Amino acid sequence: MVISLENAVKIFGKTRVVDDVTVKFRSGNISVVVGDHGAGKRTLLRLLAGELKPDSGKVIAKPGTSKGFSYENGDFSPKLKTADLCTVWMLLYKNFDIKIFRSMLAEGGIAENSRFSHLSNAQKSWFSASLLIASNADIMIFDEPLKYFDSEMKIRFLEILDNAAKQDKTVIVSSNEIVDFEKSAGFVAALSNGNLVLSGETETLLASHRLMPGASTISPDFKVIGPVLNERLVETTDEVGRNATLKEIVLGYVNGSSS
Amino acid sequence: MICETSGRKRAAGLFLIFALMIPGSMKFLFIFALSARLLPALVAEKKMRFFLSLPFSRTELFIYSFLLGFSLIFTTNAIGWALFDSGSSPEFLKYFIFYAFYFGMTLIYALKIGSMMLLPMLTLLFDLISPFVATEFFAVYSQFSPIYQQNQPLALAVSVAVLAISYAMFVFGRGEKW
Repeated sequence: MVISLENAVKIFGKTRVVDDVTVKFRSGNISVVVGDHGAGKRTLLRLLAGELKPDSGKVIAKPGTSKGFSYENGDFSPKLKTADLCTVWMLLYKNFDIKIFRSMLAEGGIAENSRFSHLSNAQKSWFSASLLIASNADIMIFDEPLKYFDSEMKIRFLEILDNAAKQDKTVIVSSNEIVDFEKSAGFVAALSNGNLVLSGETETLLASHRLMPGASTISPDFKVIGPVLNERLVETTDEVGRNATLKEIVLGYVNGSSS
Repeated sequence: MICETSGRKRAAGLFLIFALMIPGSMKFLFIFALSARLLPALVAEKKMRFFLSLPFSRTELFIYSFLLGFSLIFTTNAIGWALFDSGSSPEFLKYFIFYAFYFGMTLIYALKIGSMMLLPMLTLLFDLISPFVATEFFAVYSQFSPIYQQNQPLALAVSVAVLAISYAMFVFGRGEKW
């Protein structure tokens, strides 16, 4: 299952929050949309979810594809009970898997009849994500899912996301930090001030970028992407400098776009 | 957020349903209140985000919301007519015209300026007092006024046009305020 944006622009007031972004998300791995606060991540996700329409450009998904969106700590009435929301989701998503839902609630330490307002932020996030995972929607979009999780919850949740992706779901998550997804991201899209500064398969990105000492002379054959602290990120498959981590690659592109 | 169903809101909902059964001009006010509490309220109170994150298209949300109000008005009108007013005609079309106009108008206001009640209420007030504005004006306006409906086919056409505009703005509009 594929969902893509083609030259998508979204303007709020006079600000181009998403500026001419073209990117394609595929099923089979976890796609991470990364960027600083205000980079346009959530707006991009809202465009993908169909909640907003682009001012120009297109969102393309196969007709009949089911989509779901999970906000960082849910967005439900505090008076509702978790069981009520489960009932609604079961009505709306024909493939809703109650076993998965119950098992995720148990892992998150959430009672089935809890009031939403009685949950901690981490539990709200976990609950909201559980609804989406159990929905079995073709395209699952998670806004900052790891924000409130402790390390153990993060590891477990990434396993769950990975399993969903392996079942041919298109899993898209946003995050301020790529570090949490260093081992699990299959695809990365980095935004800076509404612009897409980087997109690509993680393996390809790691294999085609190196970090060179800042003071070193760089061959004109290498494309310099941007500074990363005292080093420079270059695009090359040659064995020069040192390997770059995913975080350093993202940082190099973000810094390169603003310098 | 999913609409809250506190005891106060449930009581208000039950009162509204009962009030919609009572024949008479006051029914217009209750239909107005109902139309403003449907999709326009979700837009004005910025609850669309939640509903659009569910597997609903904008068209579905518009249609379901409109039909919810329509079926409520139709059913209560039928019950009220059978219980209290079976001697006269049930006037379904009259209430449909009024409902369609104010559902559309309230939604347009909510979409364009985020106002839910003030401007629609001013529109309703203007509608009510239009006979006192000027005789010549009222002679024309009353033909298609959603309340007076002197020329019912024309009033129906105007209401449907307002509803269609609100649909187009809601479904194809780009300046979302949610």
